Amino acid sequence: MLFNSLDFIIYFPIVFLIYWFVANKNLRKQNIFLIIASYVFYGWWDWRFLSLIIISSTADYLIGLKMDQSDNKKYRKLLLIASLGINLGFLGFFKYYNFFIESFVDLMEAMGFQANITSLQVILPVGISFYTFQTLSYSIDIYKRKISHTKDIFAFFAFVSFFPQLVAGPIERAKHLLPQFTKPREFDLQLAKDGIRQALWGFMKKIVIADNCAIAVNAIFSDYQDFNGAILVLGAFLFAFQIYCDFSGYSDIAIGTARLFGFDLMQNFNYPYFSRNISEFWKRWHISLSTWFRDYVYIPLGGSYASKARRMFNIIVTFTVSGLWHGANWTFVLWGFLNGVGYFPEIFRKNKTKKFDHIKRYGIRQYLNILATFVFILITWVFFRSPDIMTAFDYLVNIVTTPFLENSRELVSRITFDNSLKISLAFIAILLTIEWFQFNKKHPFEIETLPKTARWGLYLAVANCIILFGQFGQNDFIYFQF
Amino acid sequence: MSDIRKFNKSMSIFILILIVPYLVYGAVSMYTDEYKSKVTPGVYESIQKCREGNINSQTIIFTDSAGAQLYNVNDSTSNGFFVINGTRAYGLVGQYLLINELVRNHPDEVKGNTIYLVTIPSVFMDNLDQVYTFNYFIKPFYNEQYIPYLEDKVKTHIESFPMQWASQLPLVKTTNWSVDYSNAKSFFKIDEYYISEFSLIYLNRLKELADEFGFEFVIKAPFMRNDKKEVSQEKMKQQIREHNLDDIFRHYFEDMKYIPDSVFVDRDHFDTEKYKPELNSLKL
Repeated sequence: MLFNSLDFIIYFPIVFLIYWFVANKNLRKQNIFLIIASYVFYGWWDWRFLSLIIISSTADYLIGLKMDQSDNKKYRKLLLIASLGINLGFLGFFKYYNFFIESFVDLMEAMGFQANITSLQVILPVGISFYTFQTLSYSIDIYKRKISHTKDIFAFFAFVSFFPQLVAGPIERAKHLLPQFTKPREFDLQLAKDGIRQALWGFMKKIVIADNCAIAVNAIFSDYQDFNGAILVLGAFLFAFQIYCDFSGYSDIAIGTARLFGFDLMQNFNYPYFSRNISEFWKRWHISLSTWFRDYVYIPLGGSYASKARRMFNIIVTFTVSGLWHGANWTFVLWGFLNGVGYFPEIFRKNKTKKFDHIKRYGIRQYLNILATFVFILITWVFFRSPDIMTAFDYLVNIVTTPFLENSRELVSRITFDNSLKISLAFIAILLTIEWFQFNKKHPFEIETLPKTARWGLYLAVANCIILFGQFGQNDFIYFQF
Repeated sequence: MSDIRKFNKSMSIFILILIVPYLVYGAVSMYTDEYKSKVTPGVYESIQKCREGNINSQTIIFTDSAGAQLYNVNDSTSNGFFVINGTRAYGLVGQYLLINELVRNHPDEVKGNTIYLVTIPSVFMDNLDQVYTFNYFIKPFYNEQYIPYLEDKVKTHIESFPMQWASQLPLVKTTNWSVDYSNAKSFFKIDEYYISEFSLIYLNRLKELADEFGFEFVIKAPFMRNDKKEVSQEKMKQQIREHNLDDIFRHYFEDMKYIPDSVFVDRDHFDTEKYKPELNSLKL
C-alpha cells in the first residue's frame, strides 16, 4: 500500500481509530493489532512475501534468544552467522542473484569463455533491504552484548513489521525502537500534532515537488541525446530534488505516522543540500542507513582509528557496499564509490568542520562550499538515475558538448505537463527558503510556537498546495525498489 | 475531553474547512456550467458547437490543434467554413464522438456535404494513452451521454486509468485536477506512423456514420515540419490498404505540405508571427 494512495487514506483512519479505541486495553493487544495492520499494509502489495518477513522475524527472534542465553563464544558466533546467512541470503537471492549471474556471464564472455548460466525471473520484495537490515542490527547488537533479547515475541514481530517504516525506513535500531514496543503507549497529543504536521509536510514534498519533478526528469533521462546542455543540467537538478523530496517525504510521512501511534522514529534527513562537504552530506542524508553502515561496516573495518590509507580503503569499501545496497546495478556501485572518493578531503582536513549555523556569518567560502558540494552531488545523481554507466557518462559529456541553449523553447515543451515544470521550480525555491529558516528544527514544519491561527493557516495552505499542485496517479516511491 | 478526542475533533474540523469550499465550488460550478469555460474550454465549446452550431457552410472541418492553425477558428463561418477546433488529446475517439454529435443534431445540414478531418498523422497513433487524456477525454466524454458510443475495449481501457471513477465527481470535473498517467505515450520521437487499435475502430465507425447520414468524410494533413519527412509512412499506408480506408485517406500523404522547421515553436505548431498561411491553403 502506498502512503499517497486512496487505499491508505481509507486504511489509515480505520487503523488509527481501532488502535486507540479498541486495541488500547493492554500492550499485547496494541502490538498484535499493529502486527495485523502492518501485515495487511504489506500484503496489499503481495501477500506471498509476508512469508519472508515472518521467517526473518522468527529466525532473528529465536537466534537472539539463544545468543543472549549462551556464554559460549563459538556457539554465539555460529548463531550470528546463521542470522547473517538467513537475512543476507534472502537479500542476496531476491535482490542480487540475477545481477551477479549476469555480471559473471559478462565477465566470462569478455574473457572469451562461454558461460551457460541462466538468470531467474525473481520479483524483488518491497522493502526487503530495509527490514533485513533492521533485524540484522538486532542480532549483531545482541552478539556484541549492546542489547538484550526481548522476551516479548509480539513486541519483536511488531518491531520488525511496523508499517510506517517497513518498506522504506528509517532503518531503526532495536536499541531505540524495540523498547517502545515493550511499554504500553498512551496517546500523546503533542507528539500526534507534530506527527501530523510532519506527515503533511512529507506529503507536500512527495506529491507536489517529487512527482512534478518526475515528469521532466523521466522525459529528459529517457531521451537525453535530444536535449541541449542546459536541459541536461536542469534534468540533474530536478532529479536531485525529486529523489530528496521523494525519499525524505516518505521518511517524514513514516515518522509522522509513527508518532500518531505513539512512536518516535529516528530522524532520517537533516537538510542535506546545505552540506558543506560530502562527509557532512552523509551525516544529513539517509541518516539511518549511513549510521548503519558506519556501525556495522566502517567501524568493524577499522573505522577512523587507522592510517590515512587504511581509512581511505575503509571509506571506499563502506560507500561501495552502500551503493550496492541501493540496487543491483553497477551504476549504484559507481555512485557509492564516487561518494567515497568525495569523502577523501575530509580525511586530510586538519580542522573538523564546525557545526553549521546559518544565522552566523561564515563568509562567502561556506556558501561556495555548499554550492560545490551540491554540484558534486548532482554529478553523482546522474549515475544513480541512469540505466547504465555508459549512459551516465554520455549524459555528462553531452552537457558540455551539445550547444548549451539551442532550441530551449521547443525542448522545454517536451518536458512539462501542464505547469509541472513551473510548479517544480517554484516549490523547490519555497522548500529551500523554508528549510533555510527552519534549519535548526527537526523538520521544517515544526511550527508549534506560532499562534494557532497562523498554524492553521499554514496547514490549510500546505494542504491546498497538495490538492491544487500535486500529481496524483501511479507514483511509487523511488526507494521502494531498494 | 480526552486528548485523543480533542485530536480527532481538530482533525475533523480541519478536513471540513479544507474540503467544504471545494465541494461547494464544485457543486455551484456544475450547476451553473461555469466549469465549461475554465476546464478544457475548447472541448466544451466544440461539443456545444456540434450540438447547436449554425451550419451555414458546405465545408465542415474538424481539426486538431495543428490543423486549427490553418483556419481562423474564432471567426470560422465568415471564412466560408464551419470549423470545429479540436485537440489531439482526445484522439480519434473524441473526434468520432464530436462528428457523431454534429450529424445527429444536424442530419439535414450534413447530408450531401463533406466533413474534413484535418489532423497530423501521429494523432492516429494515439490510443487514449496521452498525458492529457484524463482531462480532455475522460472528463468531458466518459459520461452517460457518450458511453453508449464507446466500444467495450475503450471502456475497459478507460477503467484502467487511475482514479477514472472520480472523473465525473463535481470536485474533479470542475477543476483542472488530473491524474498523472505514468503509462502515457510520448510521440516526440517517431520513426514510423501507424494507426492504433482504437483509431482503426473509430475510423471504420466514421465511415459507417458517413454512409448512414449521407455525407462524405475525408482526412487531410495540416502543414508539417520538414524533418517529419524522415518518418516512415509505410506501416500506416499498409494499414490503410488492409482496412479499406483508402477512400477517406485519399491524397492524405500526397498532399502533405512541409514547411521549414525554423518557423515551428514545437513539433507540430508553427509560430503564427513567423508564418501566416493563406486562407484555405489546403484547397478543401
